[in-house]
Amino acid sequence: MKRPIAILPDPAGLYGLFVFLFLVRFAGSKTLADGDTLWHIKFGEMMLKSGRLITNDPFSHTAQGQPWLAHEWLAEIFAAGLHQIGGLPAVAIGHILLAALAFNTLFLCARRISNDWAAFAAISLSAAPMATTHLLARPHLFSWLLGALTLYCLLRNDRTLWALPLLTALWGNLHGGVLLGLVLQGAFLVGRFFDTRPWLHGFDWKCSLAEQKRPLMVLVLSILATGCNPFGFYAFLFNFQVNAEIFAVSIGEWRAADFRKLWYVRYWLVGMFLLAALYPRKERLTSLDWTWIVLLPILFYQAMTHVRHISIAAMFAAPWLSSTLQTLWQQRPRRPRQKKPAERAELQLSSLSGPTLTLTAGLLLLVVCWYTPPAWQEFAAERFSLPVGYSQEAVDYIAQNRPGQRLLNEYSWGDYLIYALDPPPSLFIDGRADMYGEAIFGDYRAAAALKPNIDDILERYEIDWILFPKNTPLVRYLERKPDWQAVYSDDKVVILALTEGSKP
Amino acid sequence: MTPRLDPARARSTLLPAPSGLFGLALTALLILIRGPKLLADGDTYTHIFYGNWILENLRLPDTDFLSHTVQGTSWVIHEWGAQVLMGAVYQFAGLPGIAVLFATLAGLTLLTLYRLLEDLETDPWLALALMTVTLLLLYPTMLARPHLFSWLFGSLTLLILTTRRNWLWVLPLLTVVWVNLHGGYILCLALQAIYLAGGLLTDCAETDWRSALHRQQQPLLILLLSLLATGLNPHGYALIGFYIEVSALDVTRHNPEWQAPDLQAHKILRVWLTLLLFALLVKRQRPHWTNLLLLLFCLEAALTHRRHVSLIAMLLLPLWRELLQPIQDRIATWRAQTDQRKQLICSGRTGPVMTLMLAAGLMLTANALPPTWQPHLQQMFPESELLPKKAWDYLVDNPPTGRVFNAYSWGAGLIYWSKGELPVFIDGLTHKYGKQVYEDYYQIAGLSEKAKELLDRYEIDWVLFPTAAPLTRYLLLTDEWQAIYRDDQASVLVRSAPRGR
Repeated sequence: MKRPIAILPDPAGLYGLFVFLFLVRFAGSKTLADGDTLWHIKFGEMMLKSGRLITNDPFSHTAQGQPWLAHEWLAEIFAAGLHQIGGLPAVAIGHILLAALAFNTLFLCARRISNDWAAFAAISLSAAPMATTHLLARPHLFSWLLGALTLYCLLRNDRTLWALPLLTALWGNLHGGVLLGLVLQGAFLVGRFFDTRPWLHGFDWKCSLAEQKRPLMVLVLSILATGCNPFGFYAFLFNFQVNAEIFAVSIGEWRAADFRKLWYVRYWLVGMFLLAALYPRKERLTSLDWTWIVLLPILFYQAMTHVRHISIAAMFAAPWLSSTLQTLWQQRPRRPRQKKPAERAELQLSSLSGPTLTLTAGLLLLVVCWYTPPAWQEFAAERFSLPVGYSQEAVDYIAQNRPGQRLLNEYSWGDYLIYALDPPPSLFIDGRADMYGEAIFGDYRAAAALKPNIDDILERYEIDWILFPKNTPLVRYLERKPDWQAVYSDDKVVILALTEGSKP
Repeated sequence: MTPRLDPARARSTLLPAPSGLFGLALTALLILIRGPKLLADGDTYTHIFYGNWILENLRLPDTDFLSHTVQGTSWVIHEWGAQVLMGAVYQFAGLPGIAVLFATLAGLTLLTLYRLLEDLETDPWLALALMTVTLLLLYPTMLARPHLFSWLFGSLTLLILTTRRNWLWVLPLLTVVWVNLHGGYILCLALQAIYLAGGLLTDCAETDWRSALHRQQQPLLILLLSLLATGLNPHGYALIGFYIEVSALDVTRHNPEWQAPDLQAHKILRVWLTLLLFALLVKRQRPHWTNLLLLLFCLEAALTHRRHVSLIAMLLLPLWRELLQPIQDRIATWRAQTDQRKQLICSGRTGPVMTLMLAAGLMLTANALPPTWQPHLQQMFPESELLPKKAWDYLVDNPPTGRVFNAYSWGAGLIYWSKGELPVFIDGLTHKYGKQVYEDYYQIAGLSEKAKELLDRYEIDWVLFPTAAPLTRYLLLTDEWQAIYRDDQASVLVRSAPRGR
């Protein structure tokens, strides 16, 4: 009998669509809560305008002309393109679309080694809530999607594996998270090698290796593919160079999680340890035992080190979690069933309908952003707003009165000024901490924390005006100094300038 | 030769078991290496002061008399037992005696934990490896403060509940002593409840719940007795209400030990947790219910407050032992093949007795040393370098008048040096000050917009604060304050003009 064509979306597709609509409705402003989004847009626009990559810093007086590696150039062009279509709402919607497609793919991954209910539970209780810790309209959302696609190919373990080098080449131009793809491939390779139990047949490594020939070749090709970007392999190595301690301890997303504030992350972590303890290895459902044994400690080690990696750990542990939940559910004590369940006709579902629907919804919303009907304007202003700490009035003031030449600005305000003013004032720092380097970033930290060498820093960098949030010790200290005066102040920010007599 | 504990033949031998040797050696090492660091925390000095005061007055203080912010307010002195002991040791052997006392407590704690592993028939090398990791995790919080009593009593409770079930009746007595020493006595009840629940869950898998409950009759009775025993302290059961009150006080925001552990900075803990996850994933059988409950309890506690990291270091040893069973089996097989020599019979008592004798001997020596040797002792066990001794020496000769605003961690030093004569703004015993004073302190110290107003409202006349702090530098920029003393560590500022002008 000929099978009817499946049109109805499968649970994974429906889940992706639901995630998309839910995030558009409730998480628009959250995705725009980070300053980095703003400088990504600006640099993308500059690259689109000039038709070439930016390789030097154009905005600061501290690192002006210094080489800068735009390793996420393609993601920046994506963000700028969205911004040109419909402003910040379009940027948020475009990135939410990436997140939704990532969840769709993750559901498919979990579904491969468990049932729909277990996959739904694992993603809804673990991956989705933890993903909110780093749900921002920034290039790392490409890593969520491409990582999920990589995981899907690895779980299929068939000819789709050959897509991974291409995926890696694309990934290498979008986000530094390309390393995650290689880690996933490596974990699956090692895991599958151990799953063959080589010790049972006298460590016949040739035989075991022969079984892993294709994944090994794919991994080698993927490693080579990381060099397929304008900066070659240097872009890949750059990931290791930006891990300086000063950034790790100072930048919020690179710090370790504060488990008292992020109480739900604490409960999640405790829950994952408990499930690992209950993990029924003897009665495993799949042959992926060692893959998870290798992969999970790596993911959780990273999650415990940097708060930004919590989302990654929760998302890529979701298939393991769903398989564990399903086995534990099956092992529960239960009474024997009296009646056999009635046999029902199986519904024909399509795995493509869901993503297609999600993409269509996304495109429709982008069209709405383009036309901006009045009803949408009101919704967008309410749901896709910038953080409340930024002040448009202060920006208007700076646009008309530049109080000086060399600014000492608050870190996240650097991003906002780059985005909001054309040209922006000559900055001290912005979200590209890696470009500024440890010395400049260290001086910024010392100044912001009002360390004893504050006067020396101001003098060394010839700072003649300062923009800092109100009620910070630095502002209160400088307001007391006779050579500084407040030239602008509102309830969010204060602008101080050197008095006429004190200017160099 | 494999050492073996043999209670029947232990009386005939003086050779200490590996756990005893470990405890003895560790205590000696801690006295030598950790000694000065044990005295680094300011709270130690407040506890010593209170201990001395209680011994002198033979009663417990019930209202505050050491600060100008909450003077006369009633408060609960819940660690009086530990403070009296600290005061007595201090009077007998000075600060070296305090360092020896707490190093011995830490040594005995680790000895007890090693003994637990011996009871679980752990290979000495494996036990040594586990104890080394435990020591590394405990080391940062090893300070001369009453919580070290909780370490020792907690490890004893764990030993009794895990392998010495015939000593269960000791637990209510232990609770009586513990409740007068440190607030950590709650751990005794929590551990009993966990072992009770674990036993019930295990028994329920084998039999019906009535029989399971019947089997746990004795532990349940002992838990009830222990609960009753918590009232045997000068404050009775009001002490429990006090703990609820203190936990409602939001001290976590600023006080590092109440904050969550920074897993990026605490590399050992991070690696330890990763290894634990790996071991849990690799295991072949589900761990015992008690160990699973311990895992839940300890992880939740340790990830919430960094001062509770010590819990996972100590209380998860039975779980580790269970997870490492395959390695233990391999070692046992290998030993059976290679080690054909006679087993050594060791005594379980010699080690602890020798450790206590070492501590007593050192305290006696510190007491009996002639005055010419005292400077050397002070050099070995100096007062905390974190306290502003030079500034205090200046203040002794030039005492400012009026009320002081002092750095939080220096309050203890001022109380200790002035023997309670100088009323401070705040000290480490946060619960005494309540939320308002605590919040106001951080408003001033953090240079908030209310800082100046608060200094006036508390009628502050002089400030003792770190020289590099924004507050000090800010006040010096105003014409209302001037420095009368400055060094690299501390500054003393006084008002240039009388308050209110």
